[in-house]
Amino acid sequence: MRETEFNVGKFFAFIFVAIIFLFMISPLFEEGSGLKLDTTLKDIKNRISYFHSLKSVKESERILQNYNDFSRYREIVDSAKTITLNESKDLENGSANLVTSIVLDYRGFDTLGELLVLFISILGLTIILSGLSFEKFKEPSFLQITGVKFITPFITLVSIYVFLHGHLSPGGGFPAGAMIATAALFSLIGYKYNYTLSTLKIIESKSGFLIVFLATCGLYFTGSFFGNFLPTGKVGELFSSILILIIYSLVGFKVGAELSTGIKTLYDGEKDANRQ
Amino acid sequence: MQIDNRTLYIFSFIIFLIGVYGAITNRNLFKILISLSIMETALNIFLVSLGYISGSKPPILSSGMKTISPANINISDPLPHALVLTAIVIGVGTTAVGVGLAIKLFNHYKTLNINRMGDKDEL
Repeated sequence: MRETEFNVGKFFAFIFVAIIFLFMISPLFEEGSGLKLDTTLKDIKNRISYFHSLKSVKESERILQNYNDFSRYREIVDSAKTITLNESKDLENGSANLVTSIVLDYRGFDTLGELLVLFISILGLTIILSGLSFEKFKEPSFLQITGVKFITPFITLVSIYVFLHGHLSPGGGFPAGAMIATAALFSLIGYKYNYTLSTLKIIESKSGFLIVFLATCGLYFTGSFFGNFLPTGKVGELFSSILILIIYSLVGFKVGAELSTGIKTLYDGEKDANRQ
Repeated sequence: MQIDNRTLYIFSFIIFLIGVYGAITNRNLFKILISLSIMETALNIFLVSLGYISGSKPPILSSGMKTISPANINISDPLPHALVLTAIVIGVGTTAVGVGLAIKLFNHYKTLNINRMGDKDEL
């Protein structure tokens, strides 16, 4: 009896979803009158991130201040310089990954807020789960423990590679932090390495403090929060934009410590007779 | 092969509605959380595809694309990528808090079925 009711519910849910789908795709096929955003935005020169991509934000701001309007927009666009891998030197930032240059240089304040959101959510998780104890799900088998012991050093190595190469290749501090947290979980399972929450607290608070300190140094030396005050060498080399390298490493440690705190809280909640 | 932006939008809508369907038909709290994650992923795909220009390359200078200049620039918009990075991290945070609340509810009611959660006194 209950089964048939459930299927009827699923049928109506499917119809509901199909109707929403029709509503969602209908604007895509409409031939309305007026300005078409899609055709003008096909060219990246009409988008704001054109200046971020060619690292000419400050230069074009300076030109724009002379004219005081957007009448010579095309001229400003064409005044940007060519960027070549392993040749261009001393640009606004030396990041070969243009997304990283936006995340940590032009929109660094955004990333700081992102870190704060993650910190607050892990704080909420630890408050929700504090003093809670629940049944252990399953004891890890011998095979699992051996495999985990084998793979943990490699995960740590890859995470270090990822946050050191955040300005050259896809990746960066946040995936590296997730990998560090995975390695921490595996070392809890495999090596029985029982790190304490206070260690994580020290790593997390010190790296967070250093990020804010470097950002404030940028305010002091260049006049803008998260300003790039360290040398930016050649595009494409490992030590090309040192500030991004340092901040991404600190972000990696901070995110890794935060996620490890969440994992450790969940691990401590489990009832286990073998643990002290 | 070049992909139209519209195709990507439709794909993201389909993934989003798979998430909606899962959230309204499932009764298990963890399955609802998974459905919410699927909806989040669909939103991220939609935002990234807003920055996609058909036929463009990823915005990373590498051996495949050594130089960019005003005359020769063929990359997709890097700004939505940066914003989606923020969205992903916030998604991780909300999922973590959701899982914590689900564990707390399971500890209290001894079930994850949201239909049976109210009648603990009758058991």
